[in-house]
Amino acid sequence: MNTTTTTNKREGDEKDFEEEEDKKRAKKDELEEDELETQETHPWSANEEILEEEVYVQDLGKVSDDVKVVEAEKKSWNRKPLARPIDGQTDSILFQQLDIDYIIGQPHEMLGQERRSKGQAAILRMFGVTEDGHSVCVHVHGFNPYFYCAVPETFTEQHIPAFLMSLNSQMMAHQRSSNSARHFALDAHLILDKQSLMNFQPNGKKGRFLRIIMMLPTQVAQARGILENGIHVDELHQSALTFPTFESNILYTLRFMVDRAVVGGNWLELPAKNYRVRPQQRKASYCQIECDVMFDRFISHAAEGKYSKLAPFRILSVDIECAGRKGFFPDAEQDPVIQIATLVTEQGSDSPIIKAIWTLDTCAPIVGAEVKSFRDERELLRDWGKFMRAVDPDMLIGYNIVNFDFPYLIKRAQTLGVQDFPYWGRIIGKQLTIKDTTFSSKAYGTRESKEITIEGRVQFDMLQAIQRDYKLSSYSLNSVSAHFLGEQKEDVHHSAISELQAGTAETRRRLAVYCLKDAYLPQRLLDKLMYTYNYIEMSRVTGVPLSFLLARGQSIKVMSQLLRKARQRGLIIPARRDRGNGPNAQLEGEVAYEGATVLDAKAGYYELPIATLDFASLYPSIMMAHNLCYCTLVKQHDVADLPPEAYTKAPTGDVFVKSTQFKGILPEILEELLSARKRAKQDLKKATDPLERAVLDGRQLALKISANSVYGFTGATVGQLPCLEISASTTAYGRQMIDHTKKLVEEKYTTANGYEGDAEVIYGDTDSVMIKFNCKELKTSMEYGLEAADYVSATFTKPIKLEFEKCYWPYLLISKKRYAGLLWENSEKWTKMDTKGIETVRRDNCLLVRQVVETCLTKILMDRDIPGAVKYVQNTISDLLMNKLDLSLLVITKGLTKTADEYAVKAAHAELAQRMFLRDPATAPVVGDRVAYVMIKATKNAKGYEKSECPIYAMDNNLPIDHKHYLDNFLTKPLLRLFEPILQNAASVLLSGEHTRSIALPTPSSTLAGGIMRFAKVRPSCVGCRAPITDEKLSKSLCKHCVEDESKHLQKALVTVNELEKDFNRLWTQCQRCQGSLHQDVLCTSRDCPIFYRRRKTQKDLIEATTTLKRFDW
Amino acid sequence: MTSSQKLVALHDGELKTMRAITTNAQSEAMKKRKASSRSSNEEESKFRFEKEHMGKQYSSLYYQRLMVLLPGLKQSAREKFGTSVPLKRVIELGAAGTDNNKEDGKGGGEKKESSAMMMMDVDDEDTLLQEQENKENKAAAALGEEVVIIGTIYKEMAKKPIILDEYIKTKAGVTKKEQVEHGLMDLEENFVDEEKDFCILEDESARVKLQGPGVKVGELVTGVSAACKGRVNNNGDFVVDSVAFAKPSSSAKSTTKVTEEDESGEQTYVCLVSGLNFGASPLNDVRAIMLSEYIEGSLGDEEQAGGISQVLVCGELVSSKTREEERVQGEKGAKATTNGEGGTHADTKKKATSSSIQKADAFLAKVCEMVPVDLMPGSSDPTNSALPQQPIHSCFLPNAARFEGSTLKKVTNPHEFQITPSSDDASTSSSSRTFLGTSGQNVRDCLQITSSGVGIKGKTPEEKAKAVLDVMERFLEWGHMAPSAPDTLACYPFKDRDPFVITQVPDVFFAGCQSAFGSREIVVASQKSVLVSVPSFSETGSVVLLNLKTLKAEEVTFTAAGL
Repeated sequence: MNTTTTTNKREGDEKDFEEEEDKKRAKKDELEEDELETQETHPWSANEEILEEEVYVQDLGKVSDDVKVVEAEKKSWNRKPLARPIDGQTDSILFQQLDIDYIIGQPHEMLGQERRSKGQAAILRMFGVTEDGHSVCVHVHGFNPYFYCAVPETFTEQHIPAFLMSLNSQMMAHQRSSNSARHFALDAHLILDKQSLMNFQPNGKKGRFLRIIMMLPTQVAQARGILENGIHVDELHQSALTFPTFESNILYTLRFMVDRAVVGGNWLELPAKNYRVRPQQRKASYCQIECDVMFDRFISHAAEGKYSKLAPFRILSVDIECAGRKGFFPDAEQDPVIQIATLVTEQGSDSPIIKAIWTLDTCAPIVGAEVKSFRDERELLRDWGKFMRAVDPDMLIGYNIVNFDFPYLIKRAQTLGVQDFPYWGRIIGKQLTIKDTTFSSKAYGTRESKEITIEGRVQFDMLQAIQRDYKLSSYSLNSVSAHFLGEQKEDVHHSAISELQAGTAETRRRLAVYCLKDAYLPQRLLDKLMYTYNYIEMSRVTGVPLSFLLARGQSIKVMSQLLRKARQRGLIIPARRDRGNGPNAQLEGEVAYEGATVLDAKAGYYELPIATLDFASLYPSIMMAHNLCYCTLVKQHDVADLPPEAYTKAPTGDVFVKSTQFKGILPEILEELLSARKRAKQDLKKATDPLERAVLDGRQLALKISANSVYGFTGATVGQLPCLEISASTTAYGRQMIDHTKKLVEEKYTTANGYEGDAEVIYGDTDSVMIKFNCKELKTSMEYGLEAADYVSATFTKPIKLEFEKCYWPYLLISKKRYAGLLWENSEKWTKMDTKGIETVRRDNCLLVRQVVETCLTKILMDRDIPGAVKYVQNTISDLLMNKLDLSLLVITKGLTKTADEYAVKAAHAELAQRMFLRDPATAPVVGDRVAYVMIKATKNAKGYEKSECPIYAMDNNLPIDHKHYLDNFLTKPLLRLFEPILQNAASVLLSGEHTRSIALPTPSSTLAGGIMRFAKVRPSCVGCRAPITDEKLSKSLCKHCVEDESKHLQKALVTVNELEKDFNRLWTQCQRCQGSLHQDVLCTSRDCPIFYRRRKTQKDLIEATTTLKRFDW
Repeated sequence: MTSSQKLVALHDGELKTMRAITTNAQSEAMKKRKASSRSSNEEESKFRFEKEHMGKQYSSLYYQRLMVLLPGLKQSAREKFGTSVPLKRVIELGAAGTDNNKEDGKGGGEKKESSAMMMMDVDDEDTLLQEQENKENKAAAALGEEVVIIGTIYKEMAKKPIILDEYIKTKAGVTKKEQVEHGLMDLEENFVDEEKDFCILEDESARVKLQGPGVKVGELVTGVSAACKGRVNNNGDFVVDSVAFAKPSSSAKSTTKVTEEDESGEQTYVCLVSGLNFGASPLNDVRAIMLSEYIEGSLGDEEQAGGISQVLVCGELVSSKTREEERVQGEKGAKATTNGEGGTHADTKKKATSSSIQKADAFLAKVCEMVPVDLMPGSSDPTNSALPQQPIHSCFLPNAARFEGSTLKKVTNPHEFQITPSSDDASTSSSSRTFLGTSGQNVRDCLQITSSGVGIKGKTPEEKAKAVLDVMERFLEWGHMAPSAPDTLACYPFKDRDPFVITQVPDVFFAGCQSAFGSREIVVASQKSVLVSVPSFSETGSVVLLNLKTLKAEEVTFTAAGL
């Protein structure tokens, strides 16, 4: 369930958010005002020809030949020009809108003199792309911000002027800065046909509201504050009255979209004669088409049929490289940006239209890419900025661009004083802005982030998207591409980057190729994961702009739908007053009612088929079945007025009217979402065109996620509109249903009733019930499952439905939320191995744990070989103790987020980073890196954090692994969990016994061994028996006892060498293939790659083994 | 096939026991032999190494290979494509060559420097390059312009097993050992995917995908140095019309006449034996005794046997079966046993191994009494496994080792040597023969990754021999005896040389341990060369007799009926 929590800075606290914004906006507005009037004097605009579209031309042929200059192939990176100028009288403009924002400016002339005299107005800007790929910027005028407040019955039309006057004078008094608006509330209307969303109103009573129209969006929140504190209205009441406000916390942009039925990423049409084209010299943006329109004069097309397609918008993918100093993570104040790789792709085409790289210093050419080299970093940055404006991308993507690449570029330009650099937006002469934010939600956790505003271009950071949507053990670009694209990525350590940069044009070319690859990967991920389709569909379904999806939580999406639906039904949404700032504020998002219960798990290993019955979309269907909504919740004192057949009482005691009385909005939203999903799924089945399929699949997924987030919205205590009666009732119904199902199934499926066995429900979780029918045949279990699903479903209110989809056979139930089983969807062939809550993806575990657990599960479930699994565990433990395991299995990685001193508790990886810095500042991990380490044996009382060591260092110096640590801290728990349901005495069988008796410890290299070893004379020891060799004349390799068996010992040494030679060869040639070059050394240091340590280890072992061989005079 | 086949059969009861080795017998037998002198200067063989170790990477080897072969490639290119087609580096192809030196002049200078590196051994008469070198501005080859590019082939093979997959499978629960066994066992498996495989040409600047009928993807392997003539197409791929390779030069003494008619008079032979595989089966061991008696002259064609002046053992003296057991044991002893049972019964196996080595030792000692022997190691022998394999250590062959310095020479694999037949025939004394060859790993590897090896499992011995000879012929054409090393064939990461480059055409180019006998005469660089596929003795019961005068090869097969 997507429960959303928010922090003060996010939409959870719309007021603060808005106010904060307001302050900034207000300041910006002032500036803007100046700008509008004195555009020519802007420092940058004076230097550049901003009025013309910037043309960025790349010369292709050689220009030296004077003959060829004339028809020199010039390839423009600009968008293709318009076939002919737009004629506002005859042409209508159709475009897909991708971003909407607003500014405060002088009212447009189309608003009329009266409005213009009052001062500034909010102007919305919609950015998008036409079918032909032309960029569009539309300025929308005349949409006034407004909100509602409830007024007493005594309030009539004639009170309005007094009300407005009182409000305005208060507003004036609360004015924060001197240079501000002179006008506030422009108008107010009495509204009598609306009702509050909250609570069922018996007799269909309408409320009495006032719609108050403000001059500027920023004033809405101020007015709300004033009204909620109370104002005095002449002739209404003696004392000041408080007026509860409604829809006063809606973002202005969203307000506009809701009212004009605009959803994120849909197609808009400006009919001919209804808009004004801006002439070239009056353009405010770089867009090819720019026009002004009144807010009610354009058409918003629903995303259906031909309007469901996507425009060929431009996606720019970027990656930068910086030359850090030894031992420090690159710092924009000191370290230069040396390369910027950029790829531009048009949506819908599968290969980039532009591949280019900017390099500092020379760089040898690269096949298929444009190389631009610069001596001066300032010029490099300047030129790239120019390129960005010329290419005019609609979407900016990359990996960690929001928190690394972009801030770095911006800060670097600032440091170097490149003043004309940070103009990436579409608005001419407008700088981008950057600030720190914290994003926090229950679903996604807390993340510190940067917020960069680049007007008119959507930012889509693949790292953020993937972190949101997928649970992975590592989010490095390398492991993410290994996971989704099935290939390892070459990883060059940043200390190597500086070296490559300091080399020749060829080494810099090497770096450039690497950098281009890194810019291409986000694009490939975007394509592979269908992100453009999925996210645009999501914003269409939920109605929020695309940019909200990554930057905000789930609740804004539900809010957007709620607003749209409420508007249709004449309901208005109350603004929340209490914001949970009380003593329990730290429990943000904590759901303050009983959650979903889970039936007790009867842990064990089940060899009989276990049928699983699932509730399809459980919470949504409960809410629909019982008509749970804000507007159907009956106030307790109203219950008595209702006939008993009109309402239902939830298990919590809350009362909701039935849909025959009043259909709830939430159920209606859910119904629409789910039936739309059903349609999308049906269409998906029919669709053959891969693009169409992508859109439809994206849609059905978006619909599913949206439906599920509705429940969470009602339960988020610091959300926009929590209503615990709804969420608590939902879960209560859910619990009741699970119990009910258990009862029915166990009653009906018994031998007494002629079934094969007595059914037993062994486990039940939120929306599923696991049943052991006690019959041997999988087929019978499936038949029973199907039958039981229908039988139980019949007892529930529609649309609640229990479905049978799968059997587990065999099934290992460890405890609640932890199980594994072989999943069968038909009786012919199992589908997959399904595991839940078992250590397979936790990122702070070493690979060994995952491998052991996975192998055991395979052996237990797929091979049904429990003795084999036990044997395997014993052997693995024995190998661990005998120091025979591949080191890469033991490596643990952790991100270094701050320096060691800043960690409150000493952390193994941070301490190690510090020690490594003392050894070699150049290669030591720095903040931002991931630290890989193994645990080694240390002195007896050494603390955990003292035992961490760099795997390579440990390998090179033969440091003994602390196998006990691995056994106790990593293996024991997961293994016991796994085997306890199966074995009687799991702990003793697995963790002690014969296989744990032999322990091997390597001797550390003598350089490291301190103490007395330093004084010991090193004498060659016998290869056979390790005894010191006394007679070196006889043999350099063997003692006099072993020398008789020389061939035997040599043979043994050779076997080792043979194996290692083969491994060495296969490992290093694999790395050559991966890096894509035979003639260059492998530089990759990707610690996520499964063969990185093996490669190193093999090389080292081989050198050692060959040295031993040489002692045999070989 | 230019060979005749002789059958030496042995019937029940005829089996003679091996005689005890005596020094007497040695001198006696030696007297009867045709004398021949051989020189291979083993101590200085380029395949011996002292300093080489695995502390390096492979890139230098590829680089050295390209550099050594570059003059030959250029010459071949000139001969094949003419001098008018310009030579380009890969990065200068097509759209790549943007004029990026506008911003600073430094770029130009550096570019020239690096291209000079590529052309470092260009001689004065190299007209192919003149046009380009004279030009200040090294412009890119225009789209569609015909050019030559020189570099190393990289063949992308969809089906080639990769170690990463193995690793991933390991995670899924298949143990490493099982895979190694699985992957190792089938030597005749073929990884060619004719639809998906493609070639890339890489020089020290960049790589480009090769296309078109000119590039025979099925025949090529990763690591071959080649010159390709063609043009860039719109996709940025290079469409190849024609390919030239660096053929080895003809040897200086190529005046040597191959006296084909001279079948009269006394003939001298080199006997090529491979795959003796002692310990593989009792039958095999018996046949080996027959072989030794044949060489001695006491079994079969005595006269012919008397003409054997040299025995060359090219690989697999000891059976891989016993070695395999050894390997498993060794793994238990030295490496992770993810799923093994421990190694307590090692001693019994040890004995088996040592007994098969003992048999091999006895056999060698006996043959050494009679005739000089060059002993090359093969894939199953107790020495290192990556090429070049170093001579087998004396301690394994205590008896035969006594002939070291006289008749026994323990040599490397690959092996190169010269032999001068019948020193008493003064007129032809200068007609020494050069031999070059391996114990067959190079050929076997190429059969797995080229179309020659597709479906080889079910083929007749003649067809198998043809496939082997095809591969060997290509090696000579490419000027390299093991191009697929290191990519799929393990070898040492040489830093400053590539010992596997074939600089001169050998008179005899052999490969041991093949599944069938075959030989073929070819002409490379206007010099005749005989290719010999030496059959594995344990598989076929055959050895090869190579007539040093006529350079004709014939197969002699031993059968021990009833055994």
